[in-house]
Amino acid sequence: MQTLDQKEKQNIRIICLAAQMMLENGGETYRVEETAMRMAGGLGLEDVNVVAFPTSIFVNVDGRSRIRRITRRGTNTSRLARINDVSRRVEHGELNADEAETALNAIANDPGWRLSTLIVAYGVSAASFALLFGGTPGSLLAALAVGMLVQAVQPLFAHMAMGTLLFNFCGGFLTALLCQIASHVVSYGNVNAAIIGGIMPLLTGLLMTTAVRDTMYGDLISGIARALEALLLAACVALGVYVGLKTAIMTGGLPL
Amino acid sequence: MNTVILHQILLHSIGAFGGTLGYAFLLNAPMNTVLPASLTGLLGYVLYEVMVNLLGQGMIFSYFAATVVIAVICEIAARVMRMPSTIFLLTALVPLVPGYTFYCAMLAIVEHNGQAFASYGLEAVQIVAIIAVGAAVTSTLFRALTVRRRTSAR
Repeated sequence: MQTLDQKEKQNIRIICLAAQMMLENGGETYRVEETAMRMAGGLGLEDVNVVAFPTSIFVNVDGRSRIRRITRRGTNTSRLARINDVSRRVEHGELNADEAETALNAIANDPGWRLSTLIVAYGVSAASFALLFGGTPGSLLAALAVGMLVQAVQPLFAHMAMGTLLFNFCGGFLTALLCQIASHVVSYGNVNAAIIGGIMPLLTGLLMTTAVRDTMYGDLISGIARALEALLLAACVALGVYVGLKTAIMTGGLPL
Repeated sequence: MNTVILHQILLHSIGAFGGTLGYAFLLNAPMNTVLPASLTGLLGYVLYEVMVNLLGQGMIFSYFAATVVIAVICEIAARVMRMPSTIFLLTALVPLVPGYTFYCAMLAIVEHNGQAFASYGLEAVQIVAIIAVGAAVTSTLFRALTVRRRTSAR
């Protein structure tokens, strides 16, 4: 039997966990706060305040507060959907605190798609975008191959400090370098389309749309922070491509 | 009708569909939303291309119209499948969102080309703003409508 104190601690821990996971997986700020408030209502808490930023979250329930640092940010819409589902069920009283915590932990521990699926997905996406930017069949193939390679090296950066930035830089670098070198070995037509297709999955600009939407909903600080992150990531890709192209030119376009 | 443009639109729509489909997996989208969201993205992109290339509408208005159509379908799908609309929107907006233009702007900075940076940067900001406005207006309207229906039903 839990004491009242432990019960209170668990409630605030669940709300914090749900909010933290939504922020880590690409939820908009207003939606994160809404979800936390909804869960708090379902758990029967009063006087709840939630403040969310892309980098941190503060939850205060009746004088007791909990703060979490958000260090890893990505997009995983499947987790967003499942957290939303849990929060609705808590709101309607279908889940109690223990069940909600178990469900949230299960979501957190679900690894998502296997790497091989992601590699194929990245390749298909890159090839399709190459087609969108006027690629020849040859540049489609180049984008497919390079895209699969880029996604295959992604796990190397997963647990690194500044991993996302480095991955974006290396993605741009590898794409530009390999597409350029390949075009010297076999002339396949539109090199630019292959390079752009290869980097498109890195820079869809979705972060930027979320940033503008956050700003419009009144979360000004989140909006600015996300816009900065989006620009930084795009700059990393651009730098990578630039360095890759220069390297290819310097070595005469042939592997040394 | 200009067959060259039609041919181009057809090729681009295949690209848009494949790109969105692949990206949905990278976003870890729930399996049952992948296909509806990709098809919505395809529809929005085709609408944009038709408006720009065949109807001669301005770029910004075309982006706005395509976003509104995508957002409406996503809001309906979200209510039918009982999921947050963001999950559909994030996938379906992929072909429209100007990641490429942002990249061009950043490449212009790296290459010390101020003029290109200004023009690409401005274009990217315009497009992102109009897409966000289109999506936000639609979802706000939907929210207002559904809330009213709920209270009147009570």
